[in-house]
Amino acid sequence: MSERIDTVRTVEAPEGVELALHVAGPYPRALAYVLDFMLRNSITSVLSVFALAGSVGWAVILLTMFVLEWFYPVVFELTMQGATPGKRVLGLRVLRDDGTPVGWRESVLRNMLSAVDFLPGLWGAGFISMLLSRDGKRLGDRVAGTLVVYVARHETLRNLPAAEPLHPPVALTLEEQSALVEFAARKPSWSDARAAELAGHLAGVTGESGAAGVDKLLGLAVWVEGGR
Amino acid sequence: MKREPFVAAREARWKALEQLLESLAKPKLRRAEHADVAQFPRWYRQVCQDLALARRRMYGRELALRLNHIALAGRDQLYKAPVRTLAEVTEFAARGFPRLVRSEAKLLWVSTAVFLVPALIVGSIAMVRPDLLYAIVDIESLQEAERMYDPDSRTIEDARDASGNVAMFAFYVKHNVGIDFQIFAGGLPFGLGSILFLALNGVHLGAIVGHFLTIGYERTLFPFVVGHSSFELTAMLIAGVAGLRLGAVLVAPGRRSRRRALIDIGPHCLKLALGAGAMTVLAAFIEGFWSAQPLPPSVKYAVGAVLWSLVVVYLVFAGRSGESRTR
Repeated sequence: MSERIDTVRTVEAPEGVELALHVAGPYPRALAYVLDFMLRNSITSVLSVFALAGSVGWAVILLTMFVLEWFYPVVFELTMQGATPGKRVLGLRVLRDDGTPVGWRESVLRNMLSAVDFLPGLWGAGFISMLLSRDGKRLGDRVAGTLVVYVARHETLRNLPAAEPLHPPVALTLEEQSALVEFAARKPSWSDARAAELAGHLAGVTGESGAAGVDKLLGLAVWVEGGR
Repeated sequence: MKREPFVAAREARWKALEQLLESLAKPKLRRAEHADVAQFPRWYRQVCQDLALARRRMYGRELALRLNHIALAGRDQLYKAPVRTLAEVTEFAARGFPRLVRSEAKLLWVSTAVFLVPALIVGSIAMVRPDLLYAIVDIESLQEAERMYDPDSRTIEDARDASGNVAMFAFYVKHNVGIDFQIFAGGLPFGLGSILFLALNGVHLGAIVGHFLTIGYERTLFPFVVGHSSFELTAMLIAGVAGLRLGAVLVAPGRRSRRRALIDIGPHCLKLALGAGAMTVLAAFIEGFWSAQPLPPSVKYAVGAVLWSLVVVYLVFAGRSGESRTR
């Protein structure tokens, strides 16, 4: 696979079409973990009132702690569309590599192996694994064959600078299309010289350089985005 | 075909599918009770086809994004994992798990050796050169064990009433099943974690047993552990197998990439680890409710013998009929 310009991963469905998924990186996942961690701790502290009930209360506390320790994410991933409460807040969910909903095997496996991801402390191994993985996988994700992605939201059109739509002479791939749209969407934040410099990389393809090259790319982007 | 007629011809169907998906996502009704649910697979396949066409013909990203969104939601519903039934769990317990363990017989011996060799070495050191023992294990945990199993104080039996048993059961579940899962997960870094945890547990056990044999405490220790150790130790060794297999596949993936090999072996190892966890819950039950009963050692040994035979017979013979020889 060629190098990617964004974190969109395409999975091929048996129905013969590629679907696009947005893979989540370490930062939103860490935030989701912190939220889950706090929730888990509050459950534990609320539970401590059971200690007043003597040994049976202690049994409840210990068993709940066991379940929280090993199966807290599993329970939510299987019942709440692949998301723990923390992931839900951050708009993340767990899917299988092929984009289908996560099953009990994958969920239990990835979460049992999080014990290794946590080593040598504060998710060190998991973090390194995520940086080395094209799809931001921690070790548990690698073995279970799972992905953490942004919940598919209905994306709306980007606000692109006005330009005359320009019909591309050849069919463009999805990646090329998104590259054009990203270029156009970000153009207002650059100086004209910087935009011209970036557009210059495509001079060999567009046949234009400088401001004309920028305009041509903008035109293509507007066309790709649906302007006719 | 131009974009506008393409959309116009399909818009109604997309809308209907979107509505159906929305109602399916809220699981208030049973699946069959949704209107149009019989149309769902066909609509879903059509929307996939529409998406492919829209991309190919470059009808614009707006349309492609929308269809991608619908297709993903449809995929979620169509490929939702089926719910496990109780029958599958009992089938696994009755046949699947012992078969799985037998398929890993060699690794079970490896796991046993990794545990037992350090145990025997440390055990002999404890008996022959007791002074060296304190260099291996920390004194406090040894002293605490001594207090617990002191034959004159009968601490183990007296400290518990019925509700105390429940609490001890819960404690053993949390602690011992946690150790099983740790041993399994530790296998991922090339099996090293599994080996380390198994060996450390062996050292600990060897130290206690060797030391107690020297000071004559075995007459309280052995009757206490003989029952639950059957399930507990065996389960720990099987958790070791799960971890070692995970590590072995990473060391020698064969004709696959390591990435692929790990994904392929994952469910196999997971089932072993979960089976081990279930055995350990059973052990915790025995340890919580039986092992500390104030009964004569002869009864404890007899029950222990029955339990050990049960484990061996279960693992060796359960699910033999109809078992395929190949793996």
